Amino acid sequence: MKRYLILEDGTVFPGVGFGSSIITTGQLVVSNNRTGIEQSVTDPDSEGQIIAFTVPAIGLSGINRDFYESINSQCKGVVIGSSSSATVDGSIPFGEWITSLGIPGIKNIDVRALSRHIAEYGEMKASIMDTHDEHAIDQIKALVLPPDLVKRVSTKQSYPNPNMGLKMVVVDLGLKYSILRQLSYRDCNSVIVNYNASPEEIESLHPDGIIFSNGPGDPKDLPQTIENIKVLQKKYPILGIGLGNLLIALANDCKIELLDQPHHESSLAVKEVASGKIDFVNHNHSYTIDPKYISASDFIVTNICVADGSIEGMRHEYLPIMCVLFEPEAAPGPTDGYYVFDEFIDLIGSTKNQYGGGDQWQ
Amino acid sequence: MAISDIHNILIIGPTSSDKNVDLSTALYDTVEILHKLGYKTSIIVEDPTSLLSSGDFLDRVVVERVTGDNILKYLNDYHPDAILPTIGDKNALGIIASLNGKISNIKILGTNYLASLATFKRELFIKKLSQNDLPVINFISSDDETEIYSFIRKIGFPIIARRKYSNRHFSGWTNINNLFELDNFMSLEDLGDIKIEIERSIRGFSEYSFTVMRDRYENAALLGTIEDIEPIGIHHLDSNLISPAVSLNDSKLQKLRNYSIKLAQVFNVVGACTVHFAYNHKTNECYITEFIPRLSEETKFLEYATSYPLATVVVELSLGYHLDKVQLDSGSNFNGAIEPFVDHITSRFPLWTDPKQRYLGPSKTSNSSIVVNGFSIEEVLNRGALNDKINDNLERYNELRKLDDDELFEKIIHPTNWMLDVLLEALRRKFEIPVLSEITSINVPYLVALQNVIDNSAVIRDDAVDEDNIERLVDYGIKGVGNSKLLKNRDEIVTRTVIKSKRAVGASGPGFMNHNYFVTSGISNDIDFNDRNKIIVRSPIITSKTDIMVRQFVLLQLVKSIEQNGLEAVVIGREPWTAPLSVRYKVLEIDDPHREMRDLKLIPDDKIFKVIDFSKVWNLDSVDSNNEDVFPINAREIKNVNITGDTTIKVMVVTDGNNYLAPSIIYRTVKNSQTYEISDFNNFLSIENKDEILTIIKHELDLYKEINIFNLEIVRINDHWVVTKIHEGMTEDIIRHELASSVHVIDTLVKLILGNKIDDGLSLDEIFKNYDSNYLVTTNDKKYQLLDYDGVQDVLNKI
Repeated sequence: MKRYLILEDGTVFPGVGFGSSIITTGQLVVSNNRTGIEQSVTDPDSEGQIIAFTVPAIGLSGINRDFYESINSQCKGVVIGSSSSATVDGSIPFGEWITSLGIPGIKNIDVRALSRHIAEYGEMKASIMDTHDEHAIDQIKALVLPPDLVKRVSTKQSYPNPNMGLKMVVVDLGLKYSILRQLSYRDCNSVIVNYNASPEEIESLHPDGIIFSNGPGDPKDLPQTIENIKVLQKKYPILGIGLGNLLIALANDCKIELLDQPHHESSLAVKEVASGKIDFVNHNHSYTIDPKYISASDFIVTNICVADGSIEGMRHEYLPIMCVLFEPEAAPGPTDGYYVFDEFIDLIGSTKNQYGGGDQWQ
Repeated sequence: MAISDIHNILIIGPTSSDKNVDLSTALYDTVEILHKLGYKTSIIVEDPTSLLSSGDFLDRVVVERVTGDNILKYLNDYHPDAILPTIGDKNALGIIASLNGKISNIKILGTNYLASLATFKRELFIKKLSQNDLPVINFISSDDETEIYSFIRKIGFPIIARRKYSNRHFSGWTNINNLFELDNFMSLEDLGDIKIEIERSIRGFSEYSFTVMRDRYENAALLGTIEDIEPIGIHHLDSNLISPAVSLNDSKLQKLRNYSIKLAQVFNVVGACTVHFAYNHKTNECYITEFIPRLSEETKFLEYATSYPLATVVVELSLGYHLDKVQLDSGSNFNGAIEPFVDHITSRFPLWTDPKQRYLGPSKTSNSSIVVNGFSIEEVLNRGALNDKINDNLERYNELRKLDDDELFEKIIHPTNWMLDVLLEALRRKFEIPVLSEITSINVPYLVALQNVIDNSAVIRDDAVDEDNIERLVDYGIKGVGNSKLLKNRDEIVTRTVIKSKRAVGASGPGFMNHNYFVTSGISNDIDFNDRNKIIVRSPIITSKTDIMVRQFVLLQLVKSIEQNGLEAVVIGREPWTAPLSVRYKVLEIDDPHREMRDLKLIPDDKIFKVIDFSKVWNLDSVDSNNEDVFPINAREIKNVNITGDTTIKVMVVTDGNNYLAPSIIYRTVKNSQTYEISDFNNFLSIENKDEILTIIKHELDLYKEINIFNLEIVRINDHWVVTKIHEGMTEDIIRHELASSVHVIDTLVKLILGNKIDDGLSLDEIFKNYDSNYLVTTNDKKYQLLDYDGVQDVLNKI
């Protein structure tokens, strides 16, 4: 079925529809992930997004439910160049899988041209439709994307991920399962809470450390979470990942800004400033922290992106707070960033030795 | 920061063996960057033409057999600070392994004794991997029956086994699937002083190769992945290769990536390290089968696929540069810390000169290859392995049609170099895909792709392309320009060809200052037709073993010359050409295996200034022969007289149709059963000889009134020169002429094509002018020497 990918600026890419036949509109994001389509489609970060995958022969490696990053698909649509109608492991073909998820897709798109267009004009809204005319473009322009993306994907109710080790509270801003997998590998006894869980509620769980997870949308849409961080950061070791990092930056009077070229790539190099060590890690963010404000804050930059020099990690000078903008849990992408979880656990350990326990912080 | 105590580097060059991988452009890049970074560089090489240059970047070119003894002699004579063996193919690693304990205070760059040795000694390789928890195939070599049975109980069946005799000879490997077969094998001969070697069988596993780039500071990047369409058991380079390895999901990809980086760490390989894996998708078993700590066919292929300047980065990392701070040329930084992302598929298909069928096995039999790009598996199959213009697939099809089903089945069981054609025929006869996959161990998606190719061909053949099924055709693999006659003028369908524009390598943008453009979109989407005039260079198949140096060399010189004359070169060929880095910025590369760029006029005529046709296969047809703007430069014999003599000269003549230049003459003579060949013999000719030769040139070429290049072979008989052969175009002698001559023949030709003229009334000295001070002297077509004027005089006096 002939369908069209229509961008907010009026650019039209014709293709063939697959998956659900509904009309969909969302923020168009170009993903250069080499693998891990399952992770990308189910990543809560992709809430409200139409993802354009630039990798060729998509789906040939098979679809594996074990790689899901949430129970349901999160994105609003997928855009691809070519896909394979068979899989190497006999699992469900990509097209059928997208249909089973109820997501609309469009294929045979010139994803290279699309990628260049977005690189030149920036991320914008887009729609997958059956027709393309002025009216359709006006509709896209007029549509306001919902500001409550985190509210939509965050858990409504707290739940445990039990184990025998350190007590972690994970504030779910759009949590990927792989963060919990990493915590489980390290025996962490975690409780996952809503993005707006109050400091009192979190304190009542007596955590050894708090993780503010990744998530979708504009960090400035979460003023209450920022206020909560201001309270909690004085009492507990904190790890911020992705959106969590941006919120911590805002809670500490730093400013954030949109990247000229958003980072949506499963293997992009970051450099540890202190050692010069380079790691390849998964990136999935459009914002970064304005470096001008870092020097006036109590944070130091720990990691930068080798490609554009943007800030990818920071650490508080005297409070036990560490943050990364990239996704240390990988999924998809290289596993070079796993060390971040180990460092956070070490940070908790050193804090305990120093102060005799996280809940007696001040 | 580079290692500070290295100033003089010896490069171990390639041998002249046909079995060598052609790494000439990589060698060119290496030598050039070392020169630009200020190192004193020497090379030992068997054939100086493999340098693709006159050696300007090198401080010393030693033309000798590349052996351990000669390397050792050089080290003792000249005491370089370091040796670079990673560009000399397997031979160089063997030399490094043999030098252990014989040299001191000389650094080995890139690889080391241990890594070199481990590529030859399987026991060492297995031991080192086992010690470091890397997955390696279980192996035992023992004469103790109890130990053997105990080992097999541990690893299970199937296994392969062979006997190792006391004279170090081996029996062939035998497949053993159960205890009964093992008992039979063991009872065949008494063990005595025979050892039994046993390995876990990995027959039918899928094969992958991963190439990582590692610096001295433990930074490593995965540069690329390759998968074989055929399973383990068929030599990697006889298999059809696909990059990237699209059949690996994230979990498998990251596992193999981590193993590759760890292996490079274990052997302390700095630079490129390629690791081969066997992977079973049913059981998720995975083994490392070998590693290659040097530049290789794989790295060359990945450079095609990704445009990553691999050779340049490798040498700089080995000198101590950081992965993210490499220099492409003096002053321009390059971020090598990237894991290149590509939006297309690149494939390498093996070629055999002999068209007959041959069985495939663990030993390599193909003698060349072709590389193609595309956006789907079907597209690259169509452009490469199933391209009748390259493989005579129609002939194969006619042969296979004659077979009955049993005979065809036999071909499926015993794979030959016609495997994909055999499978196509089987699919046409409705053999079931799961059954074919089970028998051949070829993964199902590739068989489905072949089925799609068949279905699409049927639609096209039946002329049933209409609005209803054209989308299905595109969906099932008709992408790019491949098969594009039916897609032409359909703007709504993706009909872009894969065009390489590497000028963006290392480029900075306001947003992504260090992000190399090819990472995100690899290859330019459209040909950027700016206002500059373009010269199209139609190139031959480049990776073919025959005349490969000539092809590489002529292309390089053409592109350089076109750029120097203010125009832009577009190289169009059946496969992409990865030019040396210094000219990559200046050339557009289009792989066009179906010759659609011309036939479909995909490049507007008014944007083409001239066409230089160097494509050996694509003979000029009537369209081209009537076109004044097309200049064929391929060799074509126009005279051949059967006269022989002991002394001959080969004269390279460039003409604008009226006047002539003869800037390079090669002299060849036989004396006492020894053959001597001397370049730039212009400078040793008497004025009488020059006059006589010019008269001959004028006489022989009088009929040719167009710009051209000629090669005259002239024999000395009875104190006179007699013409025996004339070729127009670029013969294989061009490289020797060009290397030796400072009056660059190719540049002169390009200037004439651009409209320049040779002055009237030039003197004999001006016509035969040659400024060279070094002369290439070849003895018995094997031994090369670079001599000065006096040295050549000594040789001439001797002979």
